[in-house]
Amino acid sequence: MRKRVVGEAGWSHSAIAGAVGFIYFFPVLFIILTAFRNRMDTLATPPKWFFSPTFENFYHIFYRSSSTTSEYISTGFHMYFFNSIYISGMSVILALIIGTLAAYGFSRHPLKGNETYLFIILTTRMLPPIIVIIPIFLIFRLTGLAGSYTGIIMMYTCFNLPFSIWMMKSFFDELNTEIEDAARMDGASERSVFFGICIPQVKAGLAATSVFALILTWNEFLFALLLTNKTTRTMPNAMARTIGGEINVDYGLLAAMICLFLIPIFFVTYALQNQLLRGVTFGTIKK
Amino acid sequence: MLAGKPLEDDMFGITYQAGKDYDFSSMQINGFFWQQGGDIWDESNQPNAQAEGVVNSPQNVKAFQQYLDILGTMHPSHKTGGMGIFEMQALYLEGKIAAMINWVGLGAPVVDPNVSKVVDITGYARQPGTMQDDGTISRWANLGGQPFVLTTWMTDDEIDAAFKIIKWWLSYDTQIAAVKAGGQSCMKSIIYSDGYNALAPWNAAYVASMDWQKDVWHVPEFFELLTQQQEEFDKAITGQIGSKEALDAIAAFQQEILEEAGRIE
Amino acid sequence: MNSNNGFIGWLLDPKRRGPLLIAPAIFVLLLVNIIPLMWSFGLSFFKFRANKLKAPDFSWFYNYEKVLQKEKIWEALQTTAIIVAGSVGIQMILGFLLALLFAKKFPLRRILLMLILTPMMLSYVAVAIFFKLFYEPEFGLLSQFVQQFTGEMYVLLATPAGALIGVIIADAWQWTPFVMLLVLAGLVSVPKHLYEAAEIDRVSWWRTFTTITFPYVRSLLLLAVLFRTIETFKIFDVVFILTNGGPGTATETIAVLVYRTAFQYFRTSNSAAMGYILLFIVIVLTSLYLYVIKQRDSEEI
Repeated sequence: MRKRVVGEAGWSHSAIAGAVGFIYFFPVLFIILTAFRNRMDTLATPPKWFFSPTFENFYHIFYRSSSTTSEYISTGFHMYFFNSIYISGMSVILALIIGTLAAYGFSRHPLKGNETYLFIILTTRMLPPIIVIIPIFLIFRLTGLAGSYTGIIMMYTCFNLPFSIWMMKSFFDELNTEIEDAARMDGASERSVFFGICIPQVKAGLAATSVFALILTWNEFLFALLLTNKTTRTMPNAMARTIGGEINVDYGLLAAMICLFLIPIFFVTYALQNQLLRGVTFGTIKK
Repeated sequence: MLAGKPLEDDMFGITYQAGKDYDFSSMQINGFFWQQGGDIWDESNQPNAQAEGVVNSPQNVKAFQQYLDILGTMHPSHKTGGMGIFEMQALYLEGKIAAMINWVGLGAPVVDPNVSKVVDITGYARQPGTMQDDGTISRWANLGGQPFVLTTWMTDDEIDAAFKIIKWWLSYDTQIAAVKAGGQSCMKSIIYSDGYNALAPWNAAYVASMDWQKDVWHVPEFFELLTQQQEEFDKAITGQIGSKEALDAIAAFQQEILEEAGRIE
Repeated sequence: MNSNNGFIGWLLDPKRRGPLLIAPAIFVLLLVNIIPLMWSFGLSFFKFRANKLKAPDFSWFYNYEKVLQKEKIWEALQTTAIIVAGSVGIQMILGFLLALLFAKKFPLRRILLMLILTPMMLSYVAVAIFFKLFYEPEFGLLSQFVQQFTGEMYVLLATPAGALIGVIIADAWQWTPFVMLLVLAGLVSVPKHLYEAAEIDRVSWWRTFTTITFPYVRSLLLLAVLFRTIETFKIFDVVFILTNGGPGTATETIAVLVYRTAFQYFRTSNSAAMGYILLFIVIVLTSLYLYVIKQRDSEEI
């Protein structure tokens, strides 16, 4: 009998996972198909699974026909795309840095009010955004941050902090401190303990935090709507403009936007998969 | 059977607005009220006009009940409380319903072959009416349209500029250009002018319906009144409460809000 | 490295390291979150409506009284609780099972994992609009599928129960990958040699699971549940687009109610009061939750 390696499985497992994955993915598949067909085919009953694909929707993302002339004018979409990438990217990086440092602080140098601080940090995520939207808007207006990159990046960093702190603290707490203590006794500085020992072990945590934070800010709508202006506008805002108008939802256009918008996140997540799947590899003796 | 030929597909007859969102159901129900002799709160008669007793008068209850009864024969989509103007349009464009009572502004996609399956089999008419006791037909309906909104904190320069824009907008050439692009005009001098009806297939029906338009309230409490009304109508449409119950709740609410605002004594 | 003298030395002193590390985080949060929270908290004690030019009247607990007396908020809380329980429950179970499925290495694992992660990457608006299309009685896939068997259109969103189920499914579908990912991160951190030793000792699957696997996963699973619960309490976009709180008020969650009160009824301070009542409830629930976790933790040691 062939010796089976623990933790590995064969093609039969793949088949099961494939079936499950496909079923789960099905609605997304529908969206992708919709991006390539026109409205009549989308609303066809019974559903048309075979149709002639068209790139019309993708074209319309970037060039919209104006109502008075028959020319196509650019919609400035590439700007929105760039804005989304820049704003989300910056806020994720900032949240990661500030959050990881704070988590390390909470974990390794607990203060007297540790639990209270952590709890308060958590509560900032508990209110429906609707409630704070007015004062935030007013404050941003007063300080001139409305419509600037700095303002919205600060806002999003703030959104991501609670999760990244809690998540990273959880990972730091799981680590075995014996290795760190040993290194310190050998004369290593705090900095090298942190960067050389702790960080490599929590890569899975960093990866997971990045993925979630990125997804959160990538798709955020309400604050982007109110706190950005024409130059800093992000994609979700632009997507919302496909709703309403003469014909309710333009499913094809919306689907095409969704597809395009998915691509960057898809790649980042795929790239980070390695880290996510590796888990904690050092110091495996649980306390 | 339809026009002598058997139907191939499931098809429903008439459809009208029954949506909770925005003002959808109110816009149709108001028409039912007026056509059967009832009324909504009369804002031109402040502060004497009441809401209680008027909004839930026996005629209104009867009218609302009729609205609900006809709903029962419609496409099942209305059961979710989401039969708004766009849902109706989608059904109509795909040929699932025979007729719809909808805003003329949604007419343009109907004649667009890229999205419409009923391009060459669509006709346009005035909204249906109710036969009155004396043999005439009442066709009252709720006025629609988009307004210019001028705010009170504009500077004098801005007010001047705004007036100029309105004058330009209301000039003959601009109006006709707007109609050609799919809009409608509200000015008698324009809609009764020669050649207006030829500009779009539905213009003749639109002009004829202009004789039978009434409007809702224009007070600052508008949105609250509307929101609550929509909620109650929605409950009745989805079968959770009865017609009288809904109208009683609406009347009580409107009476309270308007009294608080000093519009009713 | 010895501490330098002077300000830098004072700053980097081990005693102050903790506060120094957490200071930037607290600062950002304070600025962007706490101050607006205080503002709207204050507003809830005044009588203020955004559509009237009157200045706010200070009126103590008037708003809170009014809100708590009206049935609406209790209904909304109940509806929200149902949706949270349903959705998070499904996410936990499904997420855990999916994580188990993907815990081993097998061919095509990376790609298949991405398939399951994708729903989470979509925006709320996208999910809501397309699920609305799926549930649509005429054009939707669900109805057409049911039509094959019953011959009649199926209107899922017509009944209160159906509407709730519709919302729960959409939300759970979107966020199960979140739970799955967290649990997976825990599962893969279990050292292989423990499993190998268990196999040699011929330990049963269940015991392997409870003594080796679960402890590693526990903290992450609990974290996932905590965050998903807090987030789901605030659910708005999906409900609003899918059912608009309907039919009637059957799916009017607390966030939808707050929105309507603030932006359709223009009862601004009323809605602020509602928000803080919700905050209070969520704080109580979370404290309870964390307390129970701590108890279990100390029991284990």
